[in-house]
Amino acid sequence: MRLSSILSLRRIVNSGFHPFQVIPKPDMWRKREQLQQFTAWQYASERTTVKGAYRKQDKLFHYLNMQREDEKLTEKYHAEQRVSTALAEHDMEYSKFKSILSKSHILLDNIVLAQLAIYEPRSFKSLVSFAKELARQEGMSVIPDDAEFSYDVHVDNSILRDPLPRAVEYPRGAAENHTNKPRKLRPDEF
Amino acid sequence: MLRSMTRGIFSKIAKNRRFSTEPQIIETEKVQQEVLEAISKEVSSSSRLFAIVYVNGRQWKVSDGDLISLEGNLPLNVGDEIKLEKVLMVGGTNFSIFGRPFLDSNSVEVDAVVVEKNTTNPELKYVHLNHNQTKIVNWKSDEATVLRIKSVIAKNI
Repeated sequence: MRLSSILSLRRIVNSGFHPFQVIPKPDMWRKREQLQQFTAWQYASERTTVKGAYRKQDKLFHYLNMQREDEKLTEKYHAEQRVSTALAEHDMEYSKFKSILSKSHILLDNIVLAQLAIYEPRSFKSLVSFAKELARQEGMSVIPDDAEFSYDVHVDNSILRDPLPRAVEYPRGAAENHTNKPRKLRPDEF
Repeated sequence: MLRSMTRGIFSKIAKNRRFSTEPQIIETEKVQQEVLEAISKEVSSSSRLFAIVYVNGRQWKVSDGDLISLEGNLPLNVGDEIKLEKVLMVGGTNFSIFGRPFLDSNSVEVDAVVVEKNTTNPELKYVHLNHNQTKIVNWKSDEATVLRIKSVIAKNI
């Protein structure tokens, strides 16, 4: 909310200008006002001096850029961390769990699995005990559930199939520059 | 004397004990039938369900009345009612059903309404080329389509 311009107020902490006098140089005022939007709540010279404020703004902009660039991968990474932690609670390994899920064609991604682990713990536990039973039948070493709290799972490994092919991802974008159009077809090429 | 007493005790325990190696007949089909019946009972009692749906390249865990914000300007108008058909799982208080990979679209209905089409909060793309007096500040914002989940209904399970 930018109330200061509407209310004709210029109450900025440690501003170089008097709050109610005529603005000395309009363009400079506007620039510094814009700068203060980002640095008004910083500490010491990053707030009180123009040079320091510009330095801080540059840093802040870099941080915002990094944040935007990393957002998608960060989300995936956090989801993976959450899932593997939730699995550790049930004495299951992440790689075994994922391989069984992909072999049984349950295509839930980590983001949703993490949400299940947090908000629907019983569904998550049932999925884990399903995976455990199948992993045991596949000959992987698995720590069985505590007999008191375990579900009785009725599956056999005939339901397992080849995992579905994974979608190809190009995280760095197209290999070629497609901004140049291909040349027009010659009449004889039609 | 003591030895004979202990032997007697152990033999009693051994007689009472049932070993796990004894074959047990588990009728998987019967168990499955029971589970399915229990689930259909549970579903018919109209308790609140959640579902995991795949929309617009992303999986969402949704329930009645949820808002989900999809990336991009999708070919939908505000007020359009749509049915989300790619359902990966459904769950309730006492059951959860996982599709392999999808559940039958007749058995689970997830209805949604397009509530709003707007732009996302601007994010910064910043390029600072050192020693070149070049700073490129570009505030990016994307279009978004917001859906409200009207109902998650399971039937014919």
